[in-house]
Amino acid sequence: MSRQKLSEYKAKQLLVSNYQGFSINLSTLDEDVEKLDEQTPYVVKVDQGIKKRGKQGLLRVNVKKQDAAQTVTELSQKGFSRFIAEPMLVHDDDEERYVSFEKTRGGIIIQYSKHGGIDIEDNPQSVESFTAETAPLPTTFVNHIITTMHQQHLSFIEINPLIIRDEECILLDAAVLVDSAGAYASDWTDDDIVDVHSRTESEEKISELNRNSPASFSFRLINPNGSLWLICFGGGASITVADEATNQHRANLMGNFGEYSGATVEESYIYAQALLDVMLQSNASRKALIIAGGVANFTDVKKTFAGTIQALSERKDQIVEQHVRVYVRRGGPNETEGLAMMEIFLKAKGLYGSVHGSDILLTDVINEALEYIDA
Amino acid sequence: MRDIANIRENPGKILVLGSYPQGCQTILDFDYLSGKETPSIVGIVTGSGRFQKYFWGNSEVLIPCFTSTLAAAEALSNITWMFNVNSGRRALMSTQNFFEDFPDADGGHIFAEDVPEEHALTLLHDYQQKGKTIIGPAGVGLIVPGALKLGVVGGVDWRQLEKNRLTLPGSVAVLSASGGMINEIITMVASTDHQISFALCFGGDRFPSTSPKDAFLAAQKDPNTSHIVYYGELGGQDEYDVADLLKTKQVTKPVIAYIAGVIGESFEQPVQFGHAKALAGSNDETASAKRKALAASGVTVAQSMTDFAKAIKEIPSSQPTTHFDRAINTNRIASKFSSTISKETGDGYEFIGSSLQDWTDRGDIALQITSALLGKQPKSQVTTDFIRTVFLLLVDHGPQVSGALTTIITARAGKGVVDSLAAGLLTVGPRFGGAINDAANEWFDGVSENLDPRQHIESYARQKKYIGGIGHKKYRLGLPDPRTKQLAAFAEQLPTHRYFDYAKSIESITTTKKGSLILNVDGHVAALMLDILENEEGYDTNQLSGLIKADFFNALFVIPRTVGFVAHYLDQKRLDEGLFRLPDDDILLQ
Repeated sequence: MSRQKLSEYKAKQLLVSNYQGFSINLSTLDEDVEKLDEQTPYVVKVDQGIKKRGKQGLLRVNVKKQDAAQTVTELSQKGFSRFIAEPMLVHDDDEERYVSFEKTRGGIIIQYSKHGGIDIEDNPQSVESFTAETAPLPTTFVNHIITTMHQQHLSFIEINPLIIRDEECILLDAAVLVDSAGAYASDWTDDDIVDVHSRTESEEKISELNRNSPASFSFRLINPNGSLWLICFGGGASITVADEATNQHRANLMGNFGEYSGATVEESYIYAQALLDVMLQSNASRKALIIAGGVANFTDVKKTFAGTIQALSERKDQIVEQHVRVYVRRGGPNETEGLAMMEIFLKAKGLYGSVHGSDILLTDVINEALEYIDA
Repeated sequence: MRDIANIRENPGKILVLGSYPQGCQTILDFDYLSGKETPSIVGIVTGSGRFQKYFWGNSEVLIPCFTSTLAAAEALSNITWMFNVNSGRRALMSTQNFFEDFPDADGGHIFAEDVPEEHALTLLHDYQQKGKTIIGPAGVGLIVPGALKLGVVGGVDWRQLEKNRLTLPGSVAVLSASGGMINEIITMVASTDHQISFALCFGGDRFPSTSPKDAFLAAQKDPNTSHIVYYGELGGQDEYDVADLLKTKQVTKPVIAYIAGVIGESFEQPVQFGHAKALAGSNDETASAKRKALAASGVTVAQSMTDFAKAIKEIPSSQPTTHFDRAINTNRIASKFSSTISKETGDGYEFIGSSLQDWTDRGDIALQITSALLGKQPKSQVTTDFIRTVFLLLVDHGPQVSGALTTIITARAGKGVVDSLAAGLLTVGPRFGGAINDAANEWFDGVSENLDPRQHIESYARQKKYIGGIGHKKYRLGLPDPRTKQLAAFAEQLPTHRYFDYAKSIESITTTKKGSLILNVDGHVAALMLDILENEEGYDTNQLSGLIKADFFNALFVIPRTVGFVAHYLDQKRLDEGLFRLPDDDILLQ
């Protein structure tokens, strides 16, 4: 479905033969540190897909085994839980190279610079594009990386710095994006995917729903005290609806962003439950729930609404108490029946803001909700 | 990519890969409402079933199903498109199978989301860049009003097709990355009195086979298209390719565009939106940057949906050129039964593809019954000749057997032909007359699972089970059954006969244990029927297995023996035998 960040530890296990690094998790700190070697000096880094770790102080060098636990505890103060320890390689700054490999429509593109290291972004002109055949790098290294990209569904690899000594290429720091659709055929799993942003309970619930369903779901909490809460159908319509809030300079009022498509009654119910729970916790003085989507091709409007209504009716007392109004705009198969059912429900429970089919523009519903919030 | 004008002229036939009844029905509804004579879907490749039933307007049709694209290729020719509804994991492999078996097909639509990038790139290199037209992976396909609906684009509810006049050719091309938004835009176009020339959804994946650039060039080339309406999103570089097409005058038709995703610029870190490609990794991938680039190349770029709707409304309106007066009833209901055997025609009856007049002209009852058994007329004369021989041999084996005796007793109790025949037939089962199907099952399992004959026999012996098709109470080694000789002669007419060979190898072992354990008539009929169906009629193992499950081989006994039972019934009536009562001595009373 999308490109996701792989942990550096897993990435190097896949890319480097005889890899000497260790993964350290905050939850299993003592037993993970125990595996380190007494004599070796290590580099300890946060392993959560964050760039420019050096500049942000998320990396420590020359760490000995006896100090490792303390170092990790210190780094974890900044809100991180996943780390990596690797034997330190003493080298000169001018040995540092930059290289990236990316899968594109035209094949794998290699970007290379002799001036790698933490200041690479200050030297963009030094980065040049190559193909596998033209890259000024050892052929065995290039071939190995490309083969691994194909076999392991890796979409993008950035190695900075890369140290080349004779024919040997040493990956000091590596950032890898995997193609999540290839997980089933690869040696990495969902546990190896890292997220800079730590997930809230509701986000985790939706992420799990997404993993276990042929339909697709996403949910991101933007502002816990937002006024506009969205249940949006379809990848395109959800962005378009959110765009309208931006156009009206009200993106700051949005509590969440997300979308789902192709869901069953039960899945719609679970999704709505998760969203309503966060909406009810928002301390905004006025709140509107927007249930919106384009004119569906195949998603049955009546079925998805049945699940949404079930979740709404379970929480209707709280929703009424908080004066939340519900604004609906949706089209597609069984549109008439689905909209009629929704309208009757909302009116009966005192939640009615408006209900529309494809007779109004998709984005008009946002403006109706904003009128209520502004009033 | 294939020309849209060319598709309009000659839309071609579709093979569906995978089962998606709702997706198929909408294509048939589109075909019907477009005034087509027959559905564009001519086959479905799916694991189960022989046919799927669909509405064709207000009546129904059966679409044949196949277990593989190879099996479909043997039965169908002139397939132009695949509608591939397999999962993301299976999308590439099923497409490869399709083009292996239909190398001349033009392309198709892959519906699955979650096709790995690696597979998408293979599809792109191996097919699209070699002249095929693949819409997807992901998205909702292509619709050319009045000609072709390849996917769920435009909706699966026929009322949506009717409301948006999607069977009537127009002049506005709608191109979109998003499947949901393409239908939204089609609705916007239709609600302003316009009709679409075609709508193509390339999908929100990173590597769609048909790219936005391909779609714009197709719209430029299409003589019916006067305006292009485009929906794009943040992420990727496609809009720069489109801007180049306009700058270099490769596209000169007016373009109205909405690029969604300015919301993405409200976040500090890049955010992954719903579609795989919808993530702005760098500044030039943001919605604002792409809007700017398109505007600079002469595209009317809408800043909001309201603007977008306004711009669409301002397109000069064109009126429908053709009108089809077909309609679908709002309350059509699926039939409860399906039949492919016979039907009433205007001037009589049709039975398995021929009128009864034709059957009488041919005068061959064996051919007619063979057709009845296969559900279609046999390809080979050998099949009919074999079944004729089987019928002649199995007609009756004396009044002593269970079925005949029961028929006789019932006739003597004063019952009529139907009761007496039914009573006789009801004795047919595992011990009497039902061994042919068992034998077929044994030979089939032995061959398809490549079982060693010795082990096969051992396993029966261990379970204390008789092997169906083996053993006779009178004939034995040295005293061959004259009937089996006639049957065995059919093997010589076949190029191969692996089931018969297997049955014979069983016999060669069982007869060393006991001379009477020969391959009997049932065993011969079962083995040779399997070989004939495979060699002469082209049945694959799935089809043979289906026949065994359906008890097909026992029908070879029941049909001729019915004649025998009726003969016994009429004989009893002619002899005027009275009610039968068993003498007391014949029952052991304790």
